[in-house]
Amino acid sequence: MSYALRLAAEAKRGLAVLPVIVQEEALDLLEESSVRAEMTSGSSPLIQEEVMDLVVHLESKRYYVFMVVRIDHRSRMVRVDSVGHAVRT
Amino acid sequence: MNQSTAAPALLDLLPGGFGPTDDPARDNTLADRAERLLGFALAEHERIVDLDTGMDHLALCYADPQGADAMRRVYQQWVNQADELLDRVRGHGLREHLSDKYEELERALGRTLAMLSISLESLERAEKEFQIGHTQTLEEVRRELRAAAGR
Repeated sequence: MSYALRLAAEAKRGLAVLPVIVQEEALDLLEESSVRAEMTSGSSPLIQEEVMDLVVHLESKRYYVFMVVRIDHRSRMVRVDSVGHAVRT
Repeated sequence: MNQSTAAPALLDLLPGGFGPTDDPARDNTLADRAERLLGFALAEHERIVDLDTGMDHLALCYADPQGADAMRRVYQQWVNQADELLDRVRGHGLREHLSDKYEELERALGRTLAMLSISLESLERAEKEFQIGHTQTLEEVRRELRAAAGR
């Protein structure tokens, strides 16, 4: 079973400014991370600070998304603190 | 080493240009230099990331604003140099020729810019939001964002 996943309002604000397609890809990646967290639970510290990133090509632009995540193996929770991005052509 | 003077000197190894010249030997030399500089910039990025992650992602540590700020300046200096290098590689018409390394550096640059867009204040606010339970599940956020987009 995957870990619970919770986002800070700050992280939601970071997602909200992105195009919908980019939002969806970022959320999918977060969802996968909650499944992966289960698999790494035995070999990792109780609380893991992680960063995740993705690139989405959209209408001749590249959206780079960077997410700050904390995995708490004790409470079986992945928390998403903040989402930042950069756009380049 | 004084990095603020070293960075422009490094970029001077590949002067700004306007496409291929009439001299194939010169073009080959420039392409070779550009490739080496792209590799150098990538290696430098890896070292900076190793340094940062080795210090528990210091650049994102709002509890140590001085340390985080210093680490961010290191990233920013690298960003400025890498961005200018990509410009020059493009200017010499070498983007296609060196596409693997060019794309790798472009991605490292974009990732770093995205990271730097996250302020320390934002991370501190997120910590407080978790403390007071001002958080949502992924499904709730997905639903709200879809609704806001009218889907």
